Amino acid sequence: MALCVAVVSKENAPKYVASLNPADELQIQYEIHSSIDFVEEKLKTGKKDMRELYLGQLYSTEDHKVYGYVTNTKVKFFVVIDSSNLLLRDNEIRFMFRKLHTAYTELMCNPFYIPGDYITSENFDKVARGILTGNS
Amino acid sequence: MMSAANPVRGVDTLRISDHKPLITYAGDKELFENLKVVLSQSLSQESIEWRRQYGRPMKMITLSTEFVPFNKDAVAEQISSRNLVSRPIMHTFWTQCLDMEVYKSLLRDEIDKWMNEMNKHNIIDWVIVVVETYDLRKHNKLLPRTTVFDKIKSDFAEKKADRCLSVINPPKSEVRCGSSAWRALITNVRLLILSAFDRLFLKYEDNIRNYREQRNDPSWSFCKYFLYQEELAFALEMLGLHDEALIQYDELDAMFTQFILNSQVGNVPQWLTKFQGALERWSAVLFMENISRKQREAIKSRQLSLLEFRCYLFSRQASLLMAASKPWHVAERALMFLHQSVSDLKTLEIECPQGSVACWVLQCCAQILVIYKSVKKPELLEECSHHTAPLLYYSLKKLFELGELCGLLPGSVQTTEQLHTVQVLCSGMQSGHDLSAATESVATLKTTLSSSEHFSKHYLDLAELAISTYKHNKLMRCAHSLVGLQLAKFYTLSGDTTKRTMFLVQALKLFEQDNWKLLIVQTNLELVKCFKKIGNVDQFVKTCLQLASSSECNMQVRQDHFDQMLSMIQDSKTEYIYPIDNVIVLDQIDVKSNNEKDNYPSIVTLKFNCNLPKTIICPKIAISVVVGSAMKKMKNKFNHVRSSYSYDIKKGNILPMAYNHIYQQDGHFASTGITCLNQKSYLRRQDSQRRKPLTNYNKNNFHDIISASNVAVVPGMNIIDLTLNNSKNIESGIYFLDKLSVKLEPRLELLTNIPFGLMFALKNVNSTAHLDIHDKCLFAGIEEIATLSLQFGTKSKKIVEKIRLHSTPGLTFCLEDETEYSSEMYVKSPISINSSNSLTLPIKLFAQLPSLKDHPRTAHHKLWIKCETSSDDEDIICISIDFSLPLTITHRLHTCRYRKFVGVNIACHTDWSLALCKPEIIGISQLPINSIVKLTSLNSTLDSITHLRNGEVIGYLWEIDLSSTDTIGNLAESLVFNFHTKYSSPKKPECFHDLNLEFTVNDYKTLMLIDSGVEMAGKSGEFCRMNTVCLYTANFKRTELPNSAPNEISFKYEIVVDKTMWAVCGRGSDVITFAPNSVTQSISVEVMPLMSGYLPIPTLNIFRYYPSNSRHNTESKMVPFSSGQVYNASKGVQTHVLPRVTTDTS
Repeated sequence: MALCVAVVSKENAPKYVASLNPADELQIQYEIHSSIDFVEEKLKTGKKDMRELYLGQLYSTEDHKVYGYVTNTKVKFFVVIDSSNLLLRDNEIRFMFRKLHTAYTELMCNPFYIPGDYITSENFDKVARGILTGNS
Repeated sequence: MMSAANPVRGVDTLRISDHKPLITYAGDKELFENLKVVLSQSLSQESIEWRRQYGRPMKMITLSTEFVPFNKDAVAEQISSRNLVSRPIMHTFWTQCLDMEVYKSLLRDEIDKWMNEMNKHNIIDWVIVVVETYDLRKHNKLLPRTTVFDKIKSDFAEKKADRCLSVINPPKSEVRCGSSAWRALITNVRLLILSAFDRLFLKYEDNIRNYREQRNDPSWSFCKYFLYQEELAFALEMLGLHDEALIQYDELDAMFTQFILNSQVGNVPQWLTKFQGALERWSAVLFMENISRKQREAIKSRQLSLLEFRCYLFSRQASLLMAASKPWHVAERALMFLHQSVSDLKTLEIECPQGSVACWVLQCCAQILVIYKSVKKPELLEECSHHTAPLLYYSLKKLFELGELCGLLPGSVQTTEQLHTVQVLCSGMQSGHDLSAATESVATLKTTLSSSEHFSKHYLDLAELAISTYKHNKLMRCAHSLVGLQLAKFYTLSGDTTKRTMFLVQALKLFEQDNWKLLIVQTNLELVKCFKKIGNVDQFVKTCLQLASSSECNMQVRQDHFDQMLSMIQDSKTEYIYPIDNVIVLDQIDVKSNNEKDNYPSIVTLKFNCNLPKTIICPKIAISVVVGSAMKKMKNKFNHVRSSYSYDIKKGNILPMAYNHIYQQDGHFASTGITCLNQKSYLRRQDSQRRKPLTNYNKNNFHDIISASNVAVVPGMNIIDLTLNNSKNIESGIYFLDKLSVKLEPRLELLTNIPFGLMFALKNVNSTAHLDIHDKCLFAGIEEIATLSLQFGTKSKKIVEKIRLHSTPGLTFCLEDETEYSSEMYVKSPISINSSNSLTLPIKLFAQLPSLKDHPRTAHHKLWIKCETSSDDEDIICISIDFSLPLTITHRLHTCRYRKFVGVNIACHTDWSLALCKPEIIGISQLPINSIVKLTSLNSTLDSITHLRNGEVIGYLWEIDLSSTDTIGNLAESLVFNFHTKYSSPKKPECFHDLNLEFTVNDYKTLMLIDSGVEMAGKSGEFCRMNTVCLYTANFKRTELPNSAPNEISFKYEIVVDKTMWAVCGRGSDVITFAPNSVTQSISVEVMPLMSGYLPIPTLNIFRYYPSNSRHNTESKMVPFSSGQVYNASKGVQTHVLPRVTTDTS
């Protein structure tokens, strides 16, 4: 369903990137990296509703659309989908983010995970892969 | 071309803004012509609420209307057409007839006819207005029973009273009277117009819905439906409801998109196949205000291509947004529109010539940007620029695509085929379309495609615009990473390596700031090529090093760059210092102190991960240190410096936790938990502490202090020991490990800071020495065994060639196994110092007994130790040694009348017993002739060994044979005695040492004998009584001196009493004078005993007295006698004093 799922730390460093096609990964990383600009812009202008973590579409090309989500601790989630995939509704993308956020929260609760480390958790990977393939 | 560019308005174009809701008028036309302007103005004066059905949001509408005469022939056509804009919305009938007769004869028929028309077409939106001209003259009359107005009402509008209105002619009457009726009219008309629209729209929407329901019908056409619904949008737009109109278009847009999506699953309706024809024209026309009728016709006849249709739809949406003053939405939607259109082309599998889509996109973008030029408000412009930047970037990418296709990129040569492509593309843009906005963008694009130079110029202009717009919006990542890298790509082709490098470096900075490793590697791979090309060896080596150590690259690439780097360095002469970055990742640092006492680290163990692809022999790995604080200040803090430190880099951010047990007041255990020590430093906000690249690589003074040389560093984990060298040249203090330097090559050095807090204390100890003695103290005059401990300082050399010992005179020593004592000695070596850097020498010491005349308590000595090494520097250590004396010796002259004795006392101070033997004494009289004094020993134990213990004293006594000192009747003035004995300690009982005492006895001859006593005054032979005056009598006997002067000799005596016992009643002191021939003399003084019992008699001090002599001008003086010259025979004599006589006995 999605092409790429990424978690970016509050310092904007990538903490987890998983893509459906490894061949696309580089291009998508460029796009996600640029999308950080839009996240920062949105954070700077101030969200109206602090509870709304979903940022909507941040960036789009002919091939990809980048959606963003930011937690209250400024950890950013990105989901990249294929532009031609118009069947995917906004709500479904929100749902993806919610799942990611839940998985991330669980990861944070793990005392063996040191916050700031690259995410290698199998559980988290499973959730992310589920979002990529749409089997979740 | 020209005619297409300047179309005649009204024929080919449609401007909705020119249209207003139409209202027809009939009846008294002359009257209405007069009222028209006022009416139209009044209607548009205020906005009115439009409350719509189905709970749709309320809207405020300002009605501006247009009045046309009623045309009964056109009505039928207008009603039946779907055209909502040009159909009259309401019909009005105007009259000012007030005369009932006129009404009955003429007006009623006229109205009736008009009403028939209305009824014929089922028109219910009509109004009859009766205008009354207020006449003051008539006013006085009685009101007529019925008016024309009432009559009209009853005739035509029986059930719809609100459709029949009466008003006083406003222009003719005074405002005061006419205004209320007029206002009522206006309000009513407004309401009626709105309700007419409402009804119309509801009906129309029903029709649309019905038509939509038929969409599965094969003959159904979206194009038809589109035009149908668009009318509704037009009508809404006409009413000024731009957002409502936009909703209609958005619905259409969504519907169209949905149809295209459905076609993916094989559901292709017949009308859609029309769009699937091969793309022939790719000109893009975005019109804003003027709608092309031609294009609407083309839609109707289904002759529009997909792109043209999309363009039409978008330009309608855009113009509505512009009209609603939301220009930024245009930009926001523009990109979506372009992406959607391009994706539609793909979905519908429309055959498009290569480059055509790019041309179309470029034109669209150009025109959208033109639209923005009309935006004037700065805040709106600002908002727009947020969205234009992505648009610019998109066109930049498309332009590149075109350039690639047509061989226009720098460095490439156009082939015939590519020239042909250009021609095809240009012709495709030449459509029959006619609106001026498009021509400019077409012309620009054609110019761009005409030559490589033009292309480059346009490309760079566009890129500049894109990058600056991004920067203006503070979207630096987009600017540098998207556009910047695109530009770098362009400059790669044009061969401008400097500019290419510049853009790559800027992008790299961003990637590094955010730590995106894959992107860093990718950019570095590009940069390496650039640096090589421009010959920047420094950056080349640095980048190669980064690449070689980045795990994101494959091994082949890493090795390749590593080799390139090594060969580059070998050719170069300069030195390179870089941050260690990722090349070597420190894992753990252990500081181990080898020597507990001195606490300096002998070894620092580094555990690190090397990311280089190959094993490398590092010439040197070193750690520099910084002075933590000077030794003096930190003396007490030395205790805090542990002898070993270990630091795990990875675990550096783990909180230091400790158990926290809580006890109740009574000492019972309450609870336990863990707590974080020093939590404040960990809970600090860290937002502002971004990862900063290290910049300061200055070496400091101690850069080589801890090092290892020629170390093989393998890929992966390494554990390497570094040792502390050269510590002798550093001052004492606490040192922090500061920087780690790894030399990969003799000229390639990597530096990094070591996490703060790793320290070691360096105590620069001077060499010291001290003497370990086995007992409490050392004694002079006895052989003592001690251990000389030498503690070499940190600065000392490890190997000492020889040690020279020398001492103050009187102290001799030798090593334990030797026997020859001396005051200077060499300990030959090389002596290798043991691990604790110290040396012990067992040593025997012998300090000579000092001269005992002055009764010294101790003997002070010093011992110097000088370590001589191969180099010039020498260590001289001095130790003071105090020797106690084992024995003390005193001598004394004793007198008995004229006999003289010499006594010698020896006291022992040692804990152990001291053996003495063979006391001997030799006396020599010196003046006038030296002769031996005969001495008679009065000791019984001269030959045996006497053992003395601590505190015991032994005395020896000899009588001086005065005859041997008498020379020619005169005794020698002074005698010199030499006492000698031998002693030994129990440790070495056979070894006796000599003890000598030489002393002199002067004026030993007895000059005066004194015999004194106390008896009752007047009653000799009786005991003294307390408080009774007694007589103290002293008899002096002068020794006859053969050669004494015949002058009289004077003595002075002094009676000394204990004042509690005796009171001297007479003269306590006086001078007695011996006449030249007189030998004896006596005195008696009255004294009184103050207590009873055996009292010592008063003592008598006697001095030689020299009276004053006026001739010699000398004062009288007293000279004491020496101890042997006066013999007091009554010394120590006591007298018995009886208690005082009681009164009854007396």
